Amino acid sequence: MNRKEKINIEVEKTLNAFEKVDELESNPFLITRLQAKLDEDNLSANRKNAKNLAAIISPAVFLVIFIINIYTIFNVYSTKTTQPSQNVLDLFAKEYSLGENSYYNNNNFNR
Amino acid sequence: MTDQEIKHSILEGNQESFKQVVDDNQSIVLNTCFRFVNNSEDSEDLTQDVFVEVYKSIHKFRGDSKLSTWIYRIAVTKSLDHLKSKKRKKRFGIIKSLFGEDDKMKEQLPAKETERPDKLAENNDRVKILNWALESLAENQRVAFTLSKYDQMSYNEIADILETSVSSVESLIFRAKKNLQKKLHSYYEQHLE
Repeated sequence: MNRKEKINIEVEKTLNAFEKVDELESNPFLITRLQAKLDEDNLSANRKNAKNLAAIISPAVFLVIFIINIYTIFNVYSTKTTQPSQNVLDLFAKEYSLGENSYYNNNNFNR
Repeated sequence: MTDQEIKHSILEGNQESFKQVVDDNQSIVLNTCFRFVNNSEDSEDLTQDVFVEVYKSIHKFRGDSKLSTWIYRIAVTKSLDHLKSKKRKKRFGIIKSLFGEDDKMKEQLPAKETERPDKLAENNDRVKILNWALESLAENQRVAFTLSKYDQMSYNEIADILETSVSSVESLIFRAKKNLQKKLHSYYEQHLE
């Protein structure tokens, strides 16, 4: 047998190598492993969804609180700078008996 | 149950239907993956990935082929993706070795016949050589040839998996063999005493 024939034989044997491969045995626990993997994937997916929801809601809540705070601060400062109305002053004076009819303004004081 | 009934049953959460699908197809999926990746552990992991994908994507099954064919298509895709990923890691390993970071070059081809200490794993060596030669083929030729070597798969089924005609499958296998013969000839020219 010359070298060329030897090579041809080796090539043919190699081309048919897959036919001599033993079949692998199925894993009887595959379904259990699959169930565990699917449960784990579901858990990860739920956690991811919760994180995504938090990522959306948190800035929104922050924004709402921020707006409320700004509105409150604006209102408080607006109230402080406003002068009280005359009616309010008159009522205040009457309440505490202030003004021209006060005791210290009577002629009696100047006796 | 028909394939559509099985699909709807799984979509409704029926675990028994899914278990039946796994039991019916597990062996072929496992051995199909094995013929591509030639590693039993990787084949088992890939089989698990295939059925997880089947469960999650069952709503995409249209019914224009058999459910088993659709499953084997997923198995072939996952196997090829695994091989591509392994090739990328190998390339990265080569780059690392150039910088002296990784001295180990795994998956060497078998040594010359006279240098091998024994011939016990002769067919395993031939499978490694064949897989090395298959890497040089176009993807569809590689898939057609590999699937044709598995007894449980007819040319009709291979055509369904590849979504082509039987005559195209025959042509792909013919071209694959021609290319493999060339590659293997040059290998044995160098390595055969």
